[in-house]
Amino acid sequence: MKTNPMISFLLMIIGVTGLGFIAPWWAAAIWIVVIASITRLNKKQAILSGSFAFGLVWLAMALYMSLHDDAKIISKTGALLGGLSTPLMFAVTFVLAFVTGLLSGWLGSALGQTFFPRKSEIVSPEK
Amino acid sequence: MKRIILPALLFSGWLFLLSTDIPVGENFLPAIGRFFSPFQGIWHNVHPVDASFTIKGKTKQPVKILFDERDIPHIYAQSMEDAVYAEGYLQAANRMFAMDITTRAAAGRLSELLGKRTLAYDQKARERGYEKSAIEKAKNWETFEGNKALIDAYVNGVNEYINSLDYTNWPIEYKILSHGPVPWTSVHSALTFTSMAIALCLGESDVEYSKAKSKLSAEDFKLLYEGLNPKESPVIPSERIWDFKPTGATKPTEGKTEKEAIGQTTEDHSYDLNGSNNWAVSGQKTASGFPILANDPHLGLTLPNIWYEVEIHTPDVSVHGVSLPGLPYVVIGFTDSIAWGSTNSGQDVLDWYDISWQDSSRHKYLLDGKYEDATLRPEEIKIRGSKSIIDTIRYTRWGPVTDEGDHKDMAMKWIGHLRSEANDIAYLQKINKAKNLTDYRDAVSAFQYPAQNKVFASAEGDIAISVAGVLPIRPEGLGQYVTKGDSSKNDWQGYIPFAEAPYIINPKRGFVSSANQVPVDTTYPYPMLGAKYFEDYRGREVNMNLDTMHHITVDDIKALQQNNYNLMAAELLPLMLTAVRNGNCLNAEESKYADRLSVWNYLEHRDSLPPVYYELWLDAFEKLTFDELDTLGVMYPEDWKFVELVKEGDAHHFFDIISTPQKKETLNDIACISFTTMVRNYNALEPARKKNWGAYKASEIPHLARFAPFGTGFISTSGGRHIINAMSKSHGPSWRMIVELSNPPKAFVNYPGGQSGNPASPHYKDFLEHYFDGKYYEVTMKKDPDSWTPARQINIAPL
Repeated sequence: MKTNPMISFLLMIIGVTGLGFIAPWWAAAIWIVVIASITRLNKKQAILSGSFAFGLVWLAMALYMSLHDDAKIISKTGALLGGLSTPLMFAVTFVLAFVTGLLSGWLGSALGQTFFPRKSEIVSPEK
Repeated sequence: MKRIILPALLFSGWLFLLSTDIPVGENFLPAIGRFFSPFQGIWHNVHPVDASFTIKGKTKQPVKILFDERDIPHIYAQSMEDAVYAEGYLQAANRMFAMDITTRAAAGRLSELLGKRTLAYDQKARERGYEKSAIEKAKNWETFEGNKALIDAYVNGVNEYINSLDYTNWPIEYKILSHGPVPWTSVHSALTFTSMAIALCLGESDVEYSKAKSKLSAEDFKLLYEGLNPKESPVIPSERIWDFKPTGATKPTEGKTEKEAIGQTTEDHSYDLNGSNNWAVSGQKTASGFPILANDPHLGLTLPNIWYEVEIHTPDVSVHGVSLPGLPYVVIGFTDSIAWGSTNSGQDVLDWYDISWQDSSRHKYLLDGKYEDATLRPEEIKIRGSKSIIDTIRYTRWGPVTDEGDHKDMAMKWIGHLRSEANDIAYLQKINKAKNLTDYRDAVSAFQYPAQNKVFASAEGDIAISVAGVLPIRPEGLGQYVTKGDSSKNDWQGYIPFAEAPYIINPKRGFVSSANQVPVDTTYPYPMLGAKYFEDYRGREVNMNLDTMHHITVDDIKALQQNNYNLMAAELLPLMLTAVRNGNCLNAEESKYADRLSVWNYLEHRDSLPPVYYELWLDAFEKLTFDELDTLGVMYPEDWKFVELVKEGDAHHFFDIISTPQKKETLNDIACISFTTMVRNYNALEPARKKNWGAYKASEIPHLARFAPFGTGFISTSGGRHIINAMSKSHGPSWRMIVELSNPPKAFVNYPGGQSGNPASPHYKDFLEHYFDGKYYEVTMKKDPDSWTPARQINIAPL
């Protein structure tokens, strides 16, 4: 299945968001691997889609949750974790998600190219 | 395939890294993948969870829980089993982490959660056998009629909450520690009992007394440590006639041991501060004609608070007060016809016995001329992030033998271990549904330990106070020092019968009271041990006030609970000032300090400065006076003894400083030197602390697990040691309650904290401001659930 990279990106965002509510945190990473592989994204497309899908969903969700942080729980927890400020807590959250998405996309792309290669990528035995 | 290998390795390695707790020094960084997930991790905990909902529970009938604007739950159930099920659920929902930590600490299982840093604490708890006796206690509870169903209901309620948790809604402390709660059992509830008993009745100064006796002359020892304060005003006033002869006490054939302990005392004596006030005044002394009861138990203050306020209604019971999370029922509170409260009686219920081993294997110990086998009990202490260690605990006739510093090779005989066959639950069952004086006396007869002064007042107009709890009878002369463990004749000889334990009903003076002072005067037929733990000033101050008060109102009682008068300072400071003036040693600057002290009204108010001077001076004065004791590593005497020494002046050699053998200092010299030290120390304080007593004392209420950002930080507070308002740095009145026994009773309550244990909740510390401003919340019981509109509601529907 060859899909527009933008559609793959949207599928990743939907999956990361939906699975975030119902499954362990790493399930979203598996989702990106699956989408990147079955949509046969190339390495660059997969890495960009995966990292930004994961990173942006987590960042957006963290921003949304922080809107209700009247008791400043995030800054207090950051202080407990060695003095991380609230912006740094956001940064850490984004970076963790971004790198997870990046590695997921890369692995998905590699799996896709191995198991679902495009015609141009199939090397004929005669050649 | 080759192209998969690198990304696959990196991907799986990254997920593994993010899913693993990482040791950092002695702490653990939680697995950061789930921790930082905004769907499940720490971001999820910014939402308070105080909401209305319905759950399916193991109750027989539907239970309604209505919350008022302070988030106090009002439980409406058709049976006590259903009520305690709901109570267990609510306590867990609001105090789960506190319940867990408290019971782990008593069981010696903190290291399973916190790693090596709590190993020494766990080893001490294991060596003292707390968990073993809690297991026996929990097993025994079930043998009493009706207990099993009740305890099962409570345990099921707690587990109902625990089972509802997944990582997403773990309390924040569990996420930070990356470890969830474990299922609750009746042993955990028994450990909650044990934990409170540890806090309130470990008066273990035997080693310190022995050390003092061995290192000081007989004359000095008598001067410093023997006798009771002649000015003391005991809990039971002298009008009480004791018309019985003591039973059980015999003289031992073996003498007491005055074993010289090695090294400095290393015990944690934070429980020294665990005192309380309570009193009840009869209707003859009140403006309304109704009795008024007051109680404020003093404990270490934490967020969340140790108590959880609750109101329970069943067809048989209507009760409001504070519960102790981990246990069912209300511990201190009022019904629609009585009120009750507690203070610690300070009785010595722990003795140390010196064990003579046969050899270094420490398997057999000498008893009555032959060697007896010690029972060896291996204890596995699991340590997070490290291998478990096995400690073998030796049990003797006297109890477990410890390896701890000063107590090495001593066996611990403690009331908490000995009463595992008792029905601890019975007291709570009975007092929660008591309707009159007879019910109250019946309830306190069931109370086991730690010995408490149980105050009472009823709508029928009665007031009373009882020293409740088992009080050991010892061979004469034993109990204060380390005792020889080689003779069974040195054992306790039973307990004071309940009917002969101290109590008084409706005394002529029109009030009963207690503030951890000596319970009885010297006419009481049984000896009462506990001198080091008796408080010598608060009780006198309470009684002096109540003696002179008439037409007492609730506002008068509020003011008395927050009285900041330092009686010890009133008796000591004039003597100190006279000595320093007689010394004729003050320069112009120092004289200004003395002038300010001389006009001080002895109120330790947070905005007042002289209390800072006084406390700094007293500290320096005592240290200089007792430099001999510091050198010998011997404990200081009680404070009233110090006042007596200063009053008697130069007759005592303690005022001579031992490091200056060429000169013999006098009381005046000590006063002068310590005054100069005080001024110097005051000037060396950080500017912020110089401002006043509140700034100097720098009170704060820390988070239970010492997660600093979840504590209060600095709070300016009045009060202090020996003061009715016994608020020290992080220790003080943990619950203030005043009940006027009108019809219906009207109560005024507050505690430093809030109902929720969730730092994100608006109810985490919403009582604090009121509390430190000296304000109370008025409470009247809401017996009809349809008569008021709750702020929120939880319904429990039977499965």
